[in-house]
Amino acid sequence: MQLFYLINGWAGRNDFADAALRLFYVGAVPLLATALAAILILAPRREKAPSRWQVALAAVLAIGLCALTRIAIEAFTCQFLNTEILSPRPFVTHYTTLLLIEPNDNSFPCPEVMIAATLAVLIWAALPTAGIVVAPAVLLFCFTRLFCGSNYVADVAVGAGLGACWAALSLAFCRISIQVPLRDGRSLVWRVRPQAFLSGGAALLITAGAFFSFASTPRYGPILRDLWRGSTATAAPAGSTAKRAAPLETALMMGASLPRTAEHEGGERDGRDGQDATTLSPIAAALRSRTAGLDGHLPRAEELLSKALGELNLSHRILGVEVAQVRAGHSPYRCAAVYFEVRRSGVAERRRVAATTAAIVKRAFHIDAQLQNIDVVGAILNDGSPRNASPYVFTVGEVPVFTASVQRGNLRIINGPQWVNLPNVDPGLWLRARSRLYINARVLPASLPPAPTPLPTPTAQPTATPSPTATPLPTATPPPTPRPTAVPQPTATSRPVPTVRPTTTPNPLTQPTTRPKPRPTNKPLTRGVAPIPKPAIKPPLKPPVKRVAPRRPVKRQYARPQRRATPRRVYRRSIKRRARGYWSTYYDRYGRRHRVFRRR
Amino acid sequence: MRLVGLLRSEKIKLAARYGSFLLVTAGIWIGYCAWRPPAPMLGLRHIEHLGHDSSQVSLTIDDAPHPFTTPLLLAALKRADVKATFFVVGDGMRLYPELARRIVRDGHRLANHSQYHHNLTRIPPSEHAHEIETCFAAIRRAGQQTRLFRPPGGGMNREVMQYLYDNDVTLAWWSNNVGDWSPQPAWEIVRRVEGPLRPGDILLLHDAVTSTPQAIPAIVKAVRRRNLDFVVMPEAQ
Repeated sequence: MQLFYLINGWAGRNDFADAALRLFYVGAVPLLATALAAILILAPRREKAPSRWQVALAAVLAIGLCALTRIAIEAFTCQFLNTEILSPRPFVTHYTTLLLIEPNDNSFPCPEVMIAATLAVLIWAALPTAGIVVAPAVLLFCFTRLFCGSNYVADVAVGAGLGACWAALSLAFCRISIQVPLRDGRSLVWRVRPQAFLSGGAALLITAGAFFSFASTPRYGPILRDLWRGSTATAAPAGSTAKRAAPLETALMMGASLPRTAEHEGGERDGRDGQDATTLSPIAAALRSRTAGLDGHLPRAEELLSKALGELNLSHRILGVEVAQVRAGHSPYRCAAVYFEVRRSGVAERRRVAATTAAIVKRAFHIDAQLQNIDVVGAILNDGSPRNASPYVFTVGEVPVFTASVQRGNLRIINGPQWVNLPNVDPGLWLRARSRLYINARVLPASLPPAPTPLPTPTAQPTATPSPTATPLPTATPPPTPRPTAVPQPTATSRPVPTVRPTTTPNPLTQPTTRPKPRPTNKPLTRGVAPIPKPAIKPPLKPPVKRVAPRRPVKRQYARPQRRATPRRVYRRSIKRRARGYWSTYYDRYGRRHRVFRRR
Repeated sequence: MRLVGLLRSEKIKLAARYGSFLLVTAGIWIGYCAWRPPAPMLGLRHIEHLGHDSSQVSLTIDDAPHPFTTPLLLAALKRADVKATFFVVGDGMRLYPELARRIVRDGHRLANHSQYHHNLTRIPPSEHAHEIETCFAAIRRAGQQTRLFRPPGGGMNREVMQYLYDNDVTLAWWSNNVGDWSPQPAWEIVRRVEGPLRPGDILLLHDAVTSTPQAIPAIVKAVRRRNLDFVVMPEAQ
């Protein structure tokens, strides 16, 4: 500031200096540009000079970078600082002698100085001896901006630094190195890659310095600190993420154990019209109370979605629809959850479940453009009536057996509601490829492709009537508050559900959201219990049978990652090498042959 | 440059080279002059202070007239025997003509602060003429002649500059932005005036706040203690 006062204080005292510097102020940038054009077009081609087109390309790149910087600063100012002008001109707030009128806009960093520095570095690269002239010209231009009272010292310093960095960076991109002519006719050349790293690092340093100096001002400090805190808060794991992003599984996991209040229950009952409190699931209730506590429950969107799903004519009854707006970071994030009832079991039912899910997902993303994530839950409504002998023990109430969570980003949609592979044809694969799928493997395994290893056949069928004490309790323990009738009671009764593959564990399927445990393999059995006895006599003339090791079961619980849309970039080594230099051979004084790589 | 001994193809090449250079140069200059038009930057009349060797200070009051505070200001100025420059809003003059007449009768200067006090950078440039000329006409009707204009909110972009330059309007800037438009106590206003006070200052004060009339006696005292006089803002030469 003192330097600005000093330099600006000299203005208006000498008419000749005023006039000369005013003209230079206006004409410096086009003069430099004209000089660059003259060097590129008119000057005779010199030995080892960079190509003209390369320099021209570098000029275009560098000026584009300058423009990008300007746009980025404006966007940052408008978006995050909520002001129009990042740094007002000095004549707005200080006693300034004006030799020229500039508009009252942002003065940081000065774009003209940035472009002048860019042009100067380009001229230097194109004609190293001209650097002796253009460097003082840029310095004089910086001085003139201060002298005429239109910029602060920091503006011109940062502008010149950033402009030079962008120019050096784009020159390095075009494989032109900057040369410093020395006195004895040679020149000091530094290579392209260090030049790129140096200039890029310097630009980063300048940007960071400017950012922190702005953050230290009383005007912008609190705003930037809030921004910083907000971003770190969103990045924090565990609790906060679960609260904000709230995917279904966390909501479900935490929801059942949430203490709920009577208002929430009452609100749900009033809110549901067709399928009301009698069929209201505790999970839905838990989730609703969960989303009601969040900042945006969207009844209108929910209404639209349930209406659209009602028109779909699905093969399963929809139990509930939830749409909620949560905040992930600074951006709103709308997620939905749909529950439907699974009545039967069997292969056909599994296919139907998958098809229903696919239809729900498709319809929901089609009608609601802002929807980002949808969770679909298929659940069995267990009324507690005794069935035939079954190895499964279900709690009374709603037992979710199928969960799929689909993000919009995982879908590739062509022309609106059309899918790449048709969900009707192949619902299981479709869901598996595009969702985080939690299919309860014991109830709905047929919608998956056949498992690579056969499941172990249980040696003994578990008893179908476990004692209540032996029944493992659901992890979602009922909260102390009174709950509706559909609450799972601690005393679980067995429900006979005919399943395809009965397994050893009679575990009640009360945890839909936890991943299904990896299927037990027969490895320990084969190794520990029954080692394969070696055949005593080898069959003599038999080609050795290639023993295929049993593939390990797929442990991945998530969808297989999609293939890359674009092929991986091929690093074309040879062309790059040739551009960087060439191999040459020389013989030293002992006659030894050497191959060296000469850099250009 | 010897063109005599050259082949025809070489001559064509040379002409193409020089021609392209001329084209590029013309493009550079025209583009830069379109981006940063030099005429309003160089030629716009402006006053931002009264001069390095001045022994005077100018008191300017924006946003006048206001039915509540302008009488207070006029009384304070009359009591201190100071003549100030009132940058008036044309619409206010239409609404409160007797206040405008009182300002003129007390010997103060009127100057242009636009017709409706819109920030000129946020309205279409076709409205600039109406905003500025209507207020000049109102001032003329009040019996004074001026070319001083101060943009509301300091909002000035290249279109405004071009308009002012084309119509020979003087930009009446300031050298001390006191910032009394946001509610400040009177002592704070005085502190902000007399802290950076320099000879030749143009103080930017505002009407429509009650603490400015309270601060005026102390401001006048502080300025006179430095042996400086109050003048109205001069027209540019």
